[in-house]
Amino acid sequence: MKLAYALSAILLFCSVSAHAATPSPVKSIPAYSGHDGIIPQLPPGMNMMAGYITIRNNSKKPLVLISFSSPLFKRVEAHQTVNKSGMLAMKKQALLTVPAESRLQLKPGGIHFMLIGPKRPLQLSETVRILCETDNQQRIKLELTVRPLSSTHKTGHHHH
Amino acid sequence: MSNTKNSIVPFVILIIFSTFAMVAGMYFSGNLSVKHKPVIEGTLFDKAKPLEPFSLIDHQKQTFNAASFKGKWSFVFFGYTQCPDVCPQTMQILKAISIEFNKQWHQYPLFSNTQFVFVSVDPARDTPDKLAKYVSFFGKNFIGITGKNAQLDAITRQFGILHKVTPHKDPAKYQVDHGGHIMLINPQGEWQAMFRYPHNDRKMVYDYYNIREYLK
Repeated sequence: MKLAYALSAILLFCSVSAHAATPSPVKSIPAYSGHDGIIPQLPPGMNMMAGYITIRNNSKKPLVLISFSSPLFKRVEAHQTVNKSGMLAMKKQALLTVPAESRLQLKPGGIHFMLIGPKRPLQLSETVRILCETDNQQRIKLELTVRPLSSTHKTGHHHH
Repeated sequence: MSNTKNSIVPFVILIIFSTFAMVAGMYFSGNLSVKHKPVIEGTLFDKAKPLEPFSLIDHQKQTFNAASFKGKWSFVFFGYTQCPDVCPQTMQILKAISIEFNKQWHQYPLFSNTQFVFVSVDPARDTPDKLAKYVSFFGKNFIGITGKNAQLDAITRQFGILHKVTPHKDPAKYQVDHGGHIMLINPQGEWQAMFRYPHNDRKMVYDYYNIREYLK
């Protein structure tokens, strides 16, 4: 009898651990994701555009992005607008770091993608892909949508 | 009994006096209301500062000088068209303000007489034609101006706006640093106020309305 209990306990344990090892059938959370990616539409003929997005890192390690590119732009860089008592300057960022289990917000007046030399005029609602390379040679794809300039700038208090 | 009477008298006098003071206070406060100087997100000058001469060119290739500010209230912002982040966001805020004025000017005629001036501090790249394309994207009451560096200095130094251009053949390395504050010029062509960066359109509309009411 005791042996039977012991055996069933071992069997139960095995089945539980086997279940834990298989991926959950419920929607799995990706390690990295991009949210609310937008490119504000600018007057025609502008050679420089900005891209804003929130990058989430759900992993236990910091996410370090070291290079950026897009099939629709000659070059993509990360820049930060720096405000020194009202004097504004843009500083190129060599890399972007998203802390473990956290997020990085690219937003107006802060860190943003600088999209240099559009290969053709962008249409409203068009999706633009930005490919990011990490410090361990992984590639991450972010999607940004072209929106009217007015949609980037929310009126009133919008900080959460 | 007489003791009680004597102790009441000062109270009666006090009540009569304080009632009189209260009524007088209410009367005068209604008639002598003092306008309070509005507290804005920036600086409102007690005495507007006259502008020294300068001469620039607008997006229609016409001369724009200190006299061009006369007859209208002007919001003045300094930037450059190749600026991807701050300048479009600021121009969008000015556009939102302009749309708000158009909606409200029947109710607040104060708003009807306002223009928006974008001063490009990057004249090497921002030709009048380029400025025309840029400002027309934001609205009819937007004017783009620029000019030779010495003439740009003649206007920017009056507002304490610093600007520095470091040209480079690579557009990403072509560095233009510029002040982000917005200036308000009155219809006498004098510097009336400064709105501090970063900007908020609702707050700026509110501040501008208060300034106009205060100076009416």
